[in-house]
Amino acid sequence: MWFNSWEFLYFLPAVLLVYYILNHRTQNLWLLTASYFFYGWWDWRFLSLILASTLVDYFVGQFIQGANEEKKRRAGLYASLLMNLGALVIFKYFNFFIDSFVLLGQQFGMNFDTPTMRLLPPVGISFYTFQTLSYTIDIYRRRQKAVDNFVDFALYVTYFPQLVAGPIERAATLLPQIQQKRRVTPAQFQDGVLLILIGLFKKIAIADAAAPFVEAAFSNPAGQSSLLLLKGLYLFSLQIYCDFSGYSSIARGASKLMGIELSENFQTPYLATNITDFWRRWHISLSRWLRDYLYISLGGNRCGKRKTLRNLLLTMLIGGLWHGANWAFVVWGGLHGVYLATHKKICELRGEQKKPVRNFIFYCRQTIAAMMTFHLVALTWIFFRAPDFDIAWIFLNGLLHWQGGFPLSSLKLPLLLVALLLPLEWLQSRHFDALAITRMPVSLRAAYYLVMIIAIILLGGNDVPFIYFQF
Amino acid sequence: MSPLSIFSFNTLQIKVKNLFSVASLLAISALLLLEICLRLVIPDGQIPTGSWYNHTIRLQNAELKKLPQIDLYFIGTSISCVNIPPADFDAALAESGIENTAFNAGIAGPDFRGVAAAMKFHYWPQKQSRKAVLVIAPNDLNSANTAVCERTKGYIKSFEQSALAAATIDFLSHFYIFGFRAELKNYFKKGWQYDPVNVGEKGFTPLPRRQRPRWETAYRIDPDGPLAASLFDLTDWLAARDVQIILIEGLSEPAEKNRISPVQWQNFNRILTRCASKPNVHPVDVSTIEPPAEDFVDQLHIHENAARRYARNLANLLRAKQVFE
Repeated sequence: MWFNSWEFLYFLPAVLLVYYILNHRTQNLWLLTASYFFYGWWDWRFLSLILASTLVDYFVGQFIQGANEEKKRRAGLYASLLMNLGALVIFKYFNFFIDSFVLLGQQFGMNFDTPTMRLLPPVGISFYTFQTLSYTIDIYRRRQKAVDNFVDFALYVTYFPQLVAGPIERAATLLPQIQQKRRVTPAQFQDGVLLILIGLFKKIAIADAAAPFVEAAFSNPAGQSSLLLLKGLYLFSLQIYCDFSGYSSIARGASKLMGIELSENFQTPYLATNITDFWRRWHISLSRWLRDYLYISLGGNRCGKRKTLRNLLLTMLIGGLWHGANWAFVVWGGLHGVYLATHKKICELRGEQKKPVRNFIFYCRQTIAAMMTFHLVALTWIFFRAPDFDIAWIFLNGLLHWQGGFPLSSLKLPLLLVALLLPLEWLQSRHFDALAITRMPVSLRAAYYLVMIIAIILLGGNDVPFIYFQF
Repeated sequence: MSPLSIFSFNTLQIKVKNLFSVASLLAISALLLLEICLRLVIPDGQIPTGSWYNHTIRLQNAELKKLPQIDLYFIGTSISCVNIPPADFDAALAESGIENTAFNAGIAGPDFRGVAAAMKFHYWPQKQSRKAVLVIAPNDLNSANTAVCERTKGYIKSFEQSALAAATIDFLSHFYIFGFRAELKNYFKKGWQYDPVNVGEKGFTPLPRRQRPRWETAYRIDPDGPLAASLFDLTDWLAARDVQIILIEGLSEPAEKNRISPVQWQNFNRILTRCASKPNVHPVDVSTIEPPAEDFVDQLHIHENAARRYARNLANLLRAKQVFE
């Protein structure tokens, strides 16, 4: 069930109505049932995998906590890694590795007769796998206690607002909220509704409205003028941001209505002034996961400068592969790894900087830095969005070998979309708060709410699935 | 309260009055005001579509609801709904003492996949018939028309919506701001434009005696392609519901027929032959009643008066072929 589907319009109020009249223990059971229903809506067979993952990690968690010997604790951790990563590899990456292996063989004149499995990857498998892994790893690192109550743990794994596209929550933040009694205050309720409205606005009015133009640019870039391709690229940058941050916003809003706070996943990433800053603002829950469980596990920045750069690159390559079984994602991750490593090197060379004076020149420099960062990121989106490498190269070529021709009227939609989004982004960047809009005067706020509702009604209707659901 | 009670009622710490902020109440009031203004400004007689599915179908639906029962459906594209007025068809049958209520479920816009989806998901759940006339022209099975193929995808998606989603959209369409959203969106580009699809009695869409723009499309008719498959599938689907199917060739202007290559004609005939071999299907040759070239207003459609004549001729032909016995 998608957040922007008509069914969800009934599902959420129905869940809430029952939720509000139940006591705490039954609430958790009810939320678990609702979450299974939500997930089973796509395909009930997917439930078996998530249930298996829940059962394994529940018992493994208890086993690791109960074991005294390091050997046993490590065996428990490996069991969890094997189960979770094994499922991920089988469902998501099996054919990718086999196909790559066959292709490599063909390069050397060898033909392999290999098995293939045409499996449909369960929705959101990458998200819940990382979430459950963080639980067992944290228990192994003695940062988290194993949960006794199975319903609480199962709800931590399957909690529907963030089940299929995050934010990837840590046990330390989500589990206590599940275990405690909850109260929904008027402020929380109003904020929850507002977050849902903002999310729907970003998804339906902006991302979905941009989708047909992006599709036109990326499906057949050959022969299109460079400016039209650039427009397609800008619109895709806007689309993927609004699509994903819109989803996260709805997830946070729906969760707030139940008195459970989810973490912020986006913090105006396109206003970042360097690539490291970008990754502190984009898909925050994933970048923190990768930092804490992969980069640091690889040694982080504790093993010398060269290994630090290697770790950065490796982390981003795996981060790219996390998005999907496709070499294009690996290239996307690799490019970000190179950017990050380069930025780190530049920072080292420049040494420690004085705190800058916030004058006109400072703001000009910040603006130029933000624009440069945005364009570097946008460049990587070509590989992310193009259906294959060939198309990506054609797209890049089209951008680099300038071809004129661009009707100015085609700028209307991009300008309108940016104009609609700008107040939200500007306020969020100023106050570091997704709900900074509530700081506006009442009349202005009411006008903006009205604009958002009308934009959803008028610009909606393209009915595009959330991009990150495929991951 | 019993200690074993599963109820608590104290999670939501809110009274109704503070469910909404002042700003949200202001926004809702402004939205209501806008709705009232739209109702005052938009002329009477313009039906909100919600822009979610074919405007013709929405209006045809209103016609369908007027009929207590249906004896016969005409199924096809605009070649069906523009060229065959069921009222004249029924009147001709009535003159011979045959009571019949026909409805034209032909839809303008999509290819045959959209037609099949409309019948399965839209018309049939509302009213079932014992007979159906499948009106198939080469253009309906032409996969070279990529724009129509693309449009069809959207149609099929809207027909396959769940009943809950369809009911919600229907309900929301009563609000003008939602119901006229396509027109409102276009307003900023071209001013107010309402497409007055003139759906008449029993689903017939009459066209005036005025030449319409013509288009040139290559023909690619594939007997094993998805369009033919959707025709076979619909035929099986109707046969499984014990519907007697009358298969006729839909109208095309003589010049248009000449544009189609012998190979494509062969493919088209192979499809019709295969369809005719299915149970419950009765092919009827309608070449003897084809209207003259001057009745056509474009390659595929005839004007209203010609359509009325053609429907009467078709009824008499089918009666003569003892289809109604």
